[in-house]
Amino acid sequence: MASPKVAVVGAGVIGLSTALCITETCPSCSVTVLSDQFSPNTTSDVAAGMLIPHIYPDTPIHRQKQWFQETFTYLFAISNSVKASEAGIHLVSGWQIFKSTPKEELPFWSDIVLGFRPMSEAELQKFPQHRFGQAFTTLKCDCPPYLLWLEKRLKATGTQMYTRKVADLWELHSEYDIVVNCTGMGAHQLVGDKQLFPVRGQVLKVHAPWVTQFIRDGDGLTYIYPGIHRVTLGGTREKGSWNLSPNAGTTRDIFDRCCSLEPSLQGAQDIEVKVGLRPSRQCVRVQREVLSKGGVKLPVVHNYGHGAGGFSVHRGTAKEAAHLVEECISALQSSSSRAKL
Amino acid sequence: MRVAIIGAGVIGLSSALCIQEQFQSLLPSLELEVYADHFTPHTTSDGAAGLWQPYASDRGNLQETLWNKETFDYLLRQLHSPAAKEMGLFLISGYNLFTEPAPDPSWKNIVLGFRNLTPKELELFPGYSHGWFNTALMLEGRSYLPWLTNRLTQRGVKFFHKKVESFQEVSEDGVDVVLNCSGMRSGVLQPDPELQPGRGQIIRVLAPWVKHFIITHDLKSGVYNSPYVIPGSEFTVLGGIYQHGNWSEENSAKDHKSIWESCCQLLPALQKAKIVGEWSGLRPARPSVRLERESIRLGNVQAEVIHNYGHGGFGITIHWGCAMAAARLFGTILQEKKQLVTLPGPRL
Repeated sequence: MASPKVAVVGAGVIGLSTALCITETCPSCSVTVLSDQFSPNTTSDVAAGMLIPHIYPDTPIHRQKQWFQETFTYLFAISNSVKASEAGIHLVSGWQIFKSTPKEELPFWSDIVLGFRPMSEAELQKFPQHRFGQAFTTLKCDCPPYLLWLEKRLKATGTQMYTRKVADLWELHSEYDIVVNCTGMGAHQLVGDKQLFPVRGQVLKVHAPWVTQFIRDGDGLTYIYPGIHRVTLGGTREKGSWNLSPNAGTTRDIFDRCCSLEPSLQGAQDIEVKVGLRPSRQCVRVQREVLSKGGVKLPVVHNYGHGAGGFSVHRGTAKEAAHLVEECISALQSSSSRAKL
Repeated sequence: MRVAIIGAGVIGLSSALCIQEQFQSLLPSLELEVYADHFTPHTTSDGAAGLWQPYASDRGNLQETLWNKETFDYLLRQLHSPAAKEMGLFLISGYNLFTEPAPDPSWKNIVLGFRNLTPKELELFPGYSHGWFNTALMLEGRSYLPWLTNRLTQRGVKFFHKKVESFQEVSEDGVDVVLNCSGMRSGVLQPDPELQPGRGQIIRVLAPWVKHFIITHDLKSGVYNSPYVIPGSEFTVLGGIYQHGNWSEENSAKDHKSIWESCCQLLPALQKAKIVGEWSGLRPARPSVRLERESIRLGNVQAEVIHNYGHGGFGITIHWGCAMAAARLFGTILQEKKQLVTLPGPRL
């Protein structure tokens, strides 16, 4: 197989980073990205892009840690280079605060982020309703810049990108040798995965350039994440809701909750409301599969179900998916040479 | 009782406010007047980035450390007030970097979360082997000075655009107490060989992805002669110039190159930052701050002068502690002049 043709379906952070990894591990592959949405209209564009892992109940912790480590290391190098501003990657320091001390005071990722330590009494005074906190420095991927930068890197490798709604993976079998499914929430329909469910998140993106520190309530519901041009205020975690329309009452509630943690946000300008559906699953599906229909086989690599943690593990899962693509290629090559015998 | 404050930088305005807050209600005849030839945004305080941070070494001056602490604690209390944004006050974290081990600074327990840098953090800064991380405050002069001016104006303080040439000038006009907050130009009012310019130059850039201050230190070349990057609410300040004895307020191409190259080496992404301005200013440097009373015989009048100048590169850092001390000195003057029976109480 001289030049395997690989279709990556989905152009959020997972699709684009997976496509990029494939071009890196398989330079002879011809990669095409197909998606009905591109930045700035993907779920990834709604997210703040903070590297703070979400825990997947059914994925082994060591695997989650490896994904996070790989992602952090990769972005750390970019943040420290001349490309940082174009790629939208920057360091941000701040606090995760808890109203009651969490069972696990040291999360698995505490030695991966920078300078992780418990907050001092003096720091906790800023948050009278919270009794415990963690201070650390982590990375943030601002979107659209990060997605646009991935697209630019892909174009430089000759990767084509097309706006196209794929309703059935079999549509692609005549044009492509391998299909990579990075459709996020779209996998619910596309591959009928009933274990995948939306967790609706509403956020506000505001202009408040004096906010330099992130603040996250350990309950995951209230957070303030300063980005390059805007601060993301959140949020909600509405399990099972497919509603993509902003809710005015929710906007008010998010704003009030964030102002109670950071009163200066009262002066925030230019409030933009966005909604995204976190493509949630008990474990991230990074898996090979060979679909079969009427004697025809279609190798598929799945990489979806990252829920609230897409940015935190994207590079790690992209690399794993790229290895699975390599395995598909080997399998195709050995079966085609067997066919010749 | 007429009080003239000479100078409308952070020192003059905050001293005026402190005195007004503490004594106006006790002394209805109190009239405060601010005299200056430069007002915001043209003062030295406006050019400063506005980071609260004393020098790495306290020069053995415990009193200054106490004034720094008083200022930090005061500002921290204001942080959650509705005025914070208007004051230009916000929290900021960042890095102090060294090429060799340095003793902990006098302010390590004043700021929040002070700690040494981890090896992984030091990977961000090749060439630096040690450093500190802490959370401190920004107080941007471009916002703080107008805020102070508004408060003062609301309380009836008068402002005069005038270059005062001598203490005699104001004293002869009938002013009872003079506050000398004239910063770099104090030598015009009274020669002071200890007061020397510490010339600085900065480049203002748009680099909104920078969320931390980074101050490098070169113990050989001295304070502020090593690159620093300080992000503000509207632009990021790049600096690293301290020239003792240089009175020039013109931007130097050589200094521009030095700042730009050293800051880009520190943070490569700055190469893509857009330059939006450049400024030079004179830090009013002195071995220690001059904060004291002086009774001067001027003609047949005994003039009371309170000196409050020589704050070098840490004026914003120390301003409130000094303003409170100046107000205390003012209180003693009032007592002596039998204007007050007792000094204002502990609520202050």
